[in-house]
Formats: sequence, structure tokens, C-alpha cells
Amino acid sequence: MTNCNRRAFLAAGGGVALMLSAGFHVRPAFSAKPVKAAVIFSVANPGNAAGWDEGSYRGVRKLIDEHGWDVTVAEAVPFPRLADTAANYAESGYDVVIFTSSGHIGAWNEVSPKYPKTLFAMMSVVNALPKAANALAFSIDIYGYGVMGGMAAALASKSGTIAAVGGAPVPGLITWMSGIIEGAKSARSDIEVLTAFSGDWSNVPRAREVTAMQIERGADIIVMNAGGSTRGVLDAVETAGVQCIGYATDVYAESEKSVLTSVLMNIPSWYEALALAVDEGRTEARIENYGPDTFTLADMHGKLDGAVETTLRDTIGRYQRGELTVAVVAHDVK
Amino acid sequence: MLLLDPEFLFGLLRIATPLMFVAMGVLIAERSGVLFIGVEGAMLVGAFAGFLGAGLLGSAWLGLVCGVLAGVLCGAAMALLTVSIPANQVVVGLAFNIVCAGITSFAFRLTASVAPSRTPLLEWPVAEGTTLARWLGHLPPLTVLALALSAATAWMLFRTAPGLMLRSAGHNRHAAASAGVNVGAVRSVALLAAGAFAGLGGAALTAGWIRSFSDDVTMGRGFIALAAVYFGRWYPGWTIAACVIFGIGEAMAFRAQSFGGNPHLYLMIPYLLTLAGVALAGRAQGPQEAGRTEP
Repeated sequence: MTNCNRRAFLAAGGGVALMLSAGFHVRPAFSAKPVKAAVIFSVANPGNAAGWDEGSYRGVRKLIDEHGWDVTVAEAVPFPRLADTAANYAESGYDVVIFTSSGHIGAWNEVSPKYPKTLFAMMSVVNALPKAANALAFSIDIYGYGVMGGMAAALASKSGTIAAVGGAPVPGLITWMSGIIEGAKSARSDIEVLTAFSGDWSNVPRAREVTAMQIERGADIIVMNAGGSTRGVLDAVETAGVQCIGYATDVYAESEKSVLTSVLMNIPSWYEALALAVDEGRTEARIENYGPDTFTLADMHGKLDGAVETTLRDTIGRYQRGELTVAVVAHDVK
Repeated sequence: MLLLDPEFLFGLLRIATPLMFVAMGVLIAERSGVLFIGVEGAMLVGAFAGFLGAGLLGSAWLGLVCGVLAGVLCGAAMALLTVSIPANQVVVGLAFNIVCAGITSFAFRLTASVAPSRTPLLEWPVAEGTTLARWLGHLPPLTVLALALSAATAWMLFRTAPGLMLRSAGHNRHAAASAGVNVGAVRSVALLAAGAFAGLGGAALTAGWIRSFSDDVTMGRGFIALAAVYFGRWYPGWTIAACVIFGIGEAMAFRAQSFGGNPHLYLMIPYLLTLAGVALAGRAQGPQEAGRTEP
């Protein structure tokens, strides 16, 4: 072996040793083998869930259809079983395990340090990483997202009362509601904001009745985030003849009569970013945060008076551009 | 006052109505001597059939008919397993619930692309603008139907010869058989009727109330109906009263959130009421034959 070849051999060996000593690498760039991933949902049938989980499911489709990932989807995993489910995937040799809700943070924190060879990605609202090098998060400014919904609802309301209806009272949802309250007040000082939780993400009748109660209390615009029970909210809104603002994806097709607009998040783009990060080997622990500039207001289909819609879009646009400041207040919502 | 608030009353009736249908089914089955533990599954199948039928046929009333037919099929399956074979009624009931949960989830995904995500509104089948429509407009149609069917069930059970045969099959099958009653046939027919009621209750939940379907949408309502029957000591009137009490519990749980505090505590109210109902009915004497497996 010539000196030159020996040096090349040692350099290659050193490179491999360096990679191994780093303790973690999901997948070398340009690997021929498809990435094996598991995605964990706490709702059933996420592709049909209307809202956040449907957005996530579209992202999963991107991983499969555009990036050729070999993806397993676990639906309706209850919170107490999350850590075991994720651990089972890691032990079975999955390269990436994806969590899809801020209610999964506990499991994410617990499992990530135990399986350093698997990448644990969080696709939801987080503020801190687990104590592990193999954790990655694609998060949003949920407070800013709530502010936009609150502004839209306040400016569209005729009764002067709006309501935020959520599923389970997880921290992200409480922050979202706080954003709604402050956003609404910043756009209209005399607005009254009601808040309520249905208690979970799947009980459609309960979500319906909780929403009906807010409407009885005077709310004429409902800002919703009820996960798999979104259709219960929609039914209450449609039956009462008021309007609602959709969460994450455009839910207009679900109830053309009663959906005023939706505040959209480009959730599939987070999955796209994850796929690129894995392909390029950029899997170092970090939180990639998406702010208000990445959210958009869906078409209102002429439901609002032209001047009101112009004011509404202008107000939200100024907030997105940073020209309008909204106080950050943590409300103790019930 | 909360209980006099019309919206609260309509809310509790919406909640109690599916329970009333299902509870009548449980009552008929158990009065004939068959434990109807599988009622949750039958209700779930009825809920899915009601949703699918209403969505595809464009009518909530036709959805209810589909729910009844699906419930009858469930009743036939239960009759085959618990009367013809007969297998252990508790084990069959539990297994039936699990199978139905799986079947409905699978079928829901299969039909997701063809069925609309929401069903048409259920309204009285009378012309709009007429005096009758104005008068009926304030009455929930399914609640009226549930009360009418409950009254009919009570009349049938306690005022007719078939009702006497059914109760005798549940009280003492040997005595009934010696009097010429075909116990197997009576129980089979009772299970078909019970399935129809459970299916109707499920369809009342989806096509008549929330106008959509999701996995396990019944969320234990079949078991609550079972508890209502025990609470009502196998009498239709008391059973309906128990359903209304559970409806009040759930409606209160929604409204109590506005009082402040942890919302999860309020959401426990209907389940605590169920537990209390079953505990209070602990000494109640049910039909003696219910649960016995011997042929």
C-alpha cells in the first residue's frame, strides 16, 4: 500500500470513527435505503380529522410520495402509551419517530435520550428540547397564531362576543387561547372573549355541546381547535347560524355555510424541512420555529362586508409585518 | 335557574335521546333473559350505518332506517351466538363490542372517499311554513319518537300476551317452556328488537345529533344505557328517568365549566352518576334468567 493510499485509508477510517463517536447519525446523505419512519397521532383517522392532524397527515403523505420514505402511522395512541409506542419503534430499528402534538412532549423528553440511534422529531409547539442530541422540533409561535385568530374573530363579530373552543387543555392550547384574548382586545377593546375546552380531541358530541353553550352565551364567532371533534363544533355553529374560524387547514369545504375563514399553517412544509434535514444529514438538536409571517388567512368567500374584510386583513398584515405589537400575557383560561 | 333554561333542557334532551333508544333495547333483551353486554357494539354499528346511510341517501330519516337495519343484523348475530349456540353471554358481549369497534373503524376508512363528512339536518317531515311545522318546530323529533317507543315498549311488555311470554322467558325459562313458550324463539325475536333499538340509538347519535362519525363515537354510551336499565330496575318508565338524569349530568358538565376550576372535574359528572346509579341499583332483582348460558 502506498503512503498516499494508506493516508486515504486512515482518513476514511478516522471519518467513520468520528461518526461513530458522535453517537448518532440517522442516515448518511444519498443512502439508497429509504428512511424508515413512524408517525404517532393521538387522534383516530388523522387524514380525515379536519385541522392540525389533517395538516400533519398531508405532511406524512409528502414524506411517502415525494421523498420515498417508508412510513408507519400509529393512530389514536393514548397519552399514557406514547412513550412505550415510540420506544417500540426505536427498538425495531426505525430511523425517525415523529410526534405530532404538544401533548406528546413528555414522551419525547422521556424516550429521546434512551435511543440515541433514532431521530425523534416533534411537529408541534415546544419551547425546549429534551436532553438528547437526537431530538429535533418544528414548532410554531402558537401565541402569535392565536393573536391572528383573535383579531379576525373580534373584527368580524357583530355581537361583540367571541369564543375560543379547544380540545384537551394542553399547554400549547392554553397559550393559543391567551393569544386569542390579547389579539382580540388589541383589535377591538370592547370585545368579550369566552373560552372553553371539550376535554379531549375525539368526543364529537361533547365538542358540539360545549360550542353550543358558548353560542348561547352570546358568541357569534367561534375560533376552534378541537382536533378530531372539529365536526361537533361545526355542527353547533351551523345549527345556530353563526360563523367559525378554522384551525391549521382550510375547513371551508366541511361547512360552507358556517366557516368564515381559517388561519392556515403550512404544516406539510415542516415535514418537507425534516426530509431535507435528514437527507442532508443536518439532524443536530434544534428547534425550527415558524412565526406569524408563515400563517395566512384563507379566503372569506365574500362573507364579510368589503370594508370590514379590508380592515381585518390590514390589521393582521400589520401584525405579521411587526408593525403592530400585541402584549404577551399568559391567561389562566378555563 | 339552570334547570329551567330552555337551552339547557334542549341540551339534556339531545344527550338523553340516544340513551333512551338504546336503554329500551337493553331492557327488552334482559327481560327475555339475555344479558346485552354487546349493546355498545350494536350502537356503534348503528351509528356508522346511520351516518353512512344519511350521507349517501341525503336524508337523516333514511339514515335512521339504515341504523335500525344494521342494529337488527347485530341482534341476529347476538341471537345466533347466545341463543342458538349458546355461548357465554358476558364473553360474547365483550368480544362483540371489540369486533364492532374494529369493523366500524375499518369501514369508516373504506368509505371516507365516497361518503360526505357531514349528514343532512334532521327535521320534522312536514312542509315548512305550515301551522303544524311551526308547532312541531320546537320539539326535537327523535325525543318524541324515543318517548313514544318507550311507551309502546312498556305497553307491549306489561299489557300484551307477547310481552308476558317475553318476561316469562326471562323469569323462568323452564316454567315458560312448560307453558308452551318457545323460549329460544322469544329470545331471538327480543334480540332482533333490542338490536334495532340499539342501532336506532346509534343512528340518533350520528344522523340525528352530531351529523358526523368518528372512531368509537359512542364513547361508552351503550354502557351508560345499560346502567340506566339497572338504575331503572328493568322498568321502562324508571329507565327513561335514569336516561334523563344522565343527560342532566352531561349537560351540567358542559355548563359547569363556566363556573371556573378544573374542567376535567366537571366532565366526570355523568360517569359518577352512572357509578352511583349502578351502586344504588345493587340490590335490585333483575330477570332471573339473564346471563345463564345453559341451552
